[in-house]
Amino acid sequence: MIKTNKDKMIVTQILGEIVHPVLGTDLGYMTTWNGKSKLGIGMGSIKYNVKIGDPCFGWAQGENVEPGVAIDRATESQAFRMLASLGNSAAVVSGEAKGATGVVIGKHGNVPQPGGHAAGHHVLVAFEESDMEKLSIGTKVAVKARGVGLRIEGLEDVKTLSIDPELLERICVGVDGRELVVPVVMELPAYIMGQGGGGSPAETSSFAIQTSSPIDVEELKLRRLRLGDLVACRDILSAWGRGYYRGAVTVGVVCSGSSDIAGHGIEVTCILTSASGQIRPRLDTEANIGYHLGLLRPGMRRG
Amino acid sequence: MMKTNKDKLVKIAVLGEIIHPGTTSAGYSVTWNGKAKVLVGGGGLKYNLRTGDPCYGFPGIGDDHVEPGVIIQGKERPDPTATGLANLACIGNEAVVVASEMGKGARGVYTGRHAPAKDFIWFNDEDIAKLVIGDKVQVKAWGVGLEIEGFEDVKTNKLSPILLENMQIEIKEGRLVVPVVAEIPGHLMGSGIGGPAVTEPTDYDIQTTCPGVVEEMGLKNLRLGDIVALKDQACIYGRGRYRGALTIGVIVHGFSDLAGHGPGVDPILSSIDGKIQTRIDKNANIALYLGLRQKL
Repeated sequence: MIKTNKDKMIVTQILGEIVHPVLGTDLGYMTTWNGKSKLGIGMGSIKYNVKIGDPCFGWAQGENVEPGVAIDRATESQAFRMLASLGNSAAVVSGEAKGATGVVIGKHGNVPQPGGHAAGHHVLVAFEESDMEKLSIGTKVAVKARGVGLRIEGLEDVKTLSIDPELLERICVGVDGRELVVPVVMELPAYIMGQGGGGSPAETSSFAIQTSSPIDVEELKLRRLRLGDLVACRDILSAWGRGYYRGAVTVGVVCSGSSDIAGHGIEVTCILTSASGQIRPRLDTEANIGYHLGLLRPGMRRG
Repeated sequence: MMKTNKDKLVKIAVLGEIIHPGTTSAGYSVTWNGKAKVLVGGGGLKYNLRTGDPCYGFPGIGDDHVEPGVIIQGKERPDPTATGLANLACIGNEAVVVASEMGKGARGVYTGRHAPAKDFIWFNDEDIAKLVIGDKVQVKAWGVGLEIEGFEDVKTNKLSPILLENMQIEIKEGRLVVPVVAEIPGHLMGSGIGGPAVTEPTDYDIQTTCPGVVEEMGLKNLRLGDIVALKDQACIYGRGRYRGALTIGVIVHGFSDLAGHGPGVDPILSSIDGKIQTRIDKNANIALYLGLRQKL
């Protein structure tokens, strides 16, 4: 059991709306790492049949397939993207599904955006299937944001990012000595981390496990990864931006499926990082936020 | 002797405009360890920083992503990444000032690009003194489609035939042997990796925000214009890891204190199937190859 400062944290509302589907590029066909054309599907909008616990690979023409409902800021302010945290509760505040509640399950950056170099950003929310039938693109969703400022007692060198304290309490096994013990499905070497490197601020966007090097995909067994899985990235620091730092550990949650674009791949929302390695990953094939959020039952990682 | 298809390459004019120096719009930038910093060294005209100079200055106290010489930008589209200059200009191309009160007619050389919005031109000191922000520079873009006979699978990128011919590349046992100042392990490649699935308009960074690695690898010895090899990196359609690939690139900008950032590399040659090998040469720098400087 970990102790946090959650009683001192501000809970604030942020407002977003369900976005249109986003294709692999704003120009129609995208170009894969080996020069092929592809119409990528899976980003943005409402995905009726993609859920936490589903595989990252194998979707037909899938490109960074996101689970659930994709929401982005309702205004130009960056606050929605900065403050939304995994595990926050969300409520529909317009349209036919008004009053339906859900939970934030991912933050996906690096989303292609029409007419510009800057990437888009999606906050991903899981709703009940019956409620999803009533949602539409443009529906407004309010999130009770809580996450910024979260500290774990006794672990000064662990920074938390985009994570609700109650979800963090369920994820972490506890503190052993001076290390936070966190179950993950796999540990990843820094060389496989790609798109999103250098990105700042660390609270927005996500970091890709590259899936455009076939030998690495097989050797690291990346096909085993599922949406919502917890993973640890060795030698990666995600404190004020993302980058290589020897000895650091970053823990993240898988928020999208694979990609065929060079340097892109399975996107990870970073939730914990420590420059001095105050995080001890512990391998657990069932480490997935779906269990902690009541979206999966034990042994139910789908497929 | 290397043969190319240079006689078949279209030579086409692209236009850019000298831009103001830039900094972060919101004021301070944030370093990898959470400190505030004003960035200086990007955009505008640099009177005392040229291709061939060290790319490590004094990042801790100010400079970050320093760019050598005169910085121009394509303006014909709202997104500078989508302009002719960004996509078609190649390192080593001729440039000429076409609109300027004092510097019209001055001749320079295209030396690289820093994504998303800056292209670099070398001018001699006398000509830089006459240039003003807003002046227009035209580049004879020549190099897109460049192929080396027998090595058609090797991707060339932002590489003029002039630079390719002057790089002292040898062909040995069916491979191109390319002189480089250093080999960089792929796991150090950071900002810019992935990104748009097009190689031409985008550089990516050798990360310099892990101090131990910077010292161990001697990264502070790198110079602007140095030619380096990036191991296990493919830059053929975009940029990313590919086990066994090798990419050759030119260092275009300087160190950084921002997480995941560092000296930027414009890829110029890339192979996923072992067609490129390297030999270390401390003088592998475009300033020498293009006759911009006699020594470093």
